[in-house]
Amino acid sequence: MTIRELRKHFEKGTQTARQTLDGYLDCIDKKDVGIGAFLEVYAGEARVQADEVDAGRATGKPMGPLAGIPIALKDNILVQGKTASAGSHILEHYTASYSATVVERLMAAGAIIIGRCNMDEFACGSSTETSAFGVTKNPVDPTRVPGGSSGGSAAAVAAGFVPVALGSDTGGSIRQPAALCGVVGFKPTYGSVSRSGLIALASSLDQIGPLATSVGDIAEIMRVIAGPDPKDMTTRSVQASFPEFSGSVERLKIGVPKQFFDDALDPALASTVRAAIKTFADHGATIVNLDLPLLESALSVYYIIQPAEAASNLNRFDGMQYGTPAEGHSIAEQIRRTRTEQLGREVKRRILIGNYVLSSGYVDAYYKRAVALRGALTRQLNKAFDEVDVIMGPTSPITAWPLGEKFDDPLTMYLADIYTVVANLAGIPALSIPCGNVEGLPIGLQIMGRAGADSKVLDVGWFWESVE
Amino acid sequence: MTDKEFDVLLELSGLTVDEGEREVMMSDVESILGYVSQLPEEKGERKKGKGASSMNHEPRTPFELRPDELTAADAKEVEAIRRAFPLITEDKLLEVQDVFGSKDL
Repeated sequence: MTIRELRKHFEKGTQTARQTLDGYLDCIDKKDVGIGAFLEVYAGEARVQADEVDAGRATGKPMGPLAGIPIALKDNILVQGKTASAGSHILEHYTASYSATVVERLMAAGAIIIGRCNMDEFACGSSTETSAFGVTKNPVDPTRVPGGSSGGSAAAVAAGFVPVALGSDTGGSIRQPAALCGVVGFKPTYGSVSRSGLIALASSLDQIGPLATSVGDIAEIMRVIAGPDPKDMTTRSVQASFPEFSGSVERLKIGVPKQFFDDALDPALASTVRAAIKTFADHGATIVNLDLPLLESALSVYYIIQPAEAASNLNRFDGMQYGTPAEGHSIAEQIRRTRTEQLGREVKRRILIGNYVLSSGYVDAYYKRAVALRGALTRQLNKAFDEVDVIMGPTSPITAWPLGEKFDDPLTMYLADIYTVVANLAGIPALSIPCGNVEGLPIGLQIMGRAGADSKVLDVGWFWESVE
Repeated sequence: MTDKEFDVLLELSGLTVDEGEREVMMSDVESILGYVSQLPEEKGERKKGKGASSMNHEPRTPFELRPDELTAADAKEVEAIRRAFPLITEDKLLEVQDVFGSKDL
């Protein structure tokens, strides 16, 4: 059920928040053993909150827009007094001392935080297999990965454990798992949503966003979580730009870069995505073929800048400030042993790459050049947005792959992000919406817009849902 | 990447790797760096035809770990620091202890 449907039930009195919550908790109890979406479920506290919502409603107390709606969080979003492990052994026993701004806003709107979801360790991964606490399986086909790094959040929504979940997206970590699990995922414009209380991976790329079963629910969550926050100086005002949907794509110009339909893309997937784009043309939209050569370099640029920022951000996890210190004869040895024993292989790989590209001998050749190209790519995209309203293409070059297939081949795993990293590098909004399937596995259509055009992107996505 | 470079990288990263894992990790890092080094040329770049690869790039400084050299402050510096930072806060809640190896300040 969507948020709007649940709200109607609550208002009519045909279903209480407690009954709704119990239904979801029962579903988690029965089915999550085979999926592994949740690391922890706050059943007790959630029931108390649901009862409070029902009691408040019964006495005519004004209700928030999300009163009684259960929401799951990726395990890198802090809830005061709760564990936040970011999928890592090093934070296994870390208890958050404050709540993320998004959590405060959701709770103020009456939402019920139902639990924390599995993720790739420190969001380093595209399959949720790098989690220190086990893999999450794709509810569509449990022999396959759910994507990542917000794989737990995507699986929880796809399995019907919650109507909505929050994830974080550094290079596609909301959109790619959404595509692989057949749900909707949205990465807002950089700065639309506060990152205060998000365990950082790459601070210039990270953004919190929602996953849901409909674009309408994505907009419902964005209305609550978006907007300026004094605790995050990069935030800006966009919350006013989530109006009701227009329901029309006439006069809409859709850009389709040829670089999004390259050799990396599965041919069956390509034809499904092209068919979806043609549907917009059939309803009056204009298709504009684009040539954006710098898109070909986006993945390389991303895998320089992201590890560089990650290496810096992850320095604090040393057993001194965070984590349990290992034994050692000196502080240096303690730090080395803590990090060696408690960080996973993919995280170590990114730290090593990050430190390499930032080292004095190579910073010009790698990092500074990547930063310059990031600027050039953003300018190229902005120029394209002078001609078109949105850019469309596939979210992922492939459908969900079998568990373990790419785990030992990091470069092949990185290629799964080839079409999503662009939006993070340019800081623009991007939506992944289900647009069909290949051999029973879901495919995502990616819709990107100019920075700040979050509402436009959701509007176009909503149109697709309404005609599908 | 040489073994020495990899060792320096590990040191910089505050990590160690098992012998069995070392080869795989080095190979992974090299293949990823090989991939990301295929960046296009920027306009007006002098070294045309050369990408970002470490294979054709001369580091400006030797890729070595610089040991931190700790030198004890001399008497003049100690006195300057003592004057600049009061030993006790105005609210008398925080008192400096054990600075310069002496509790008797």
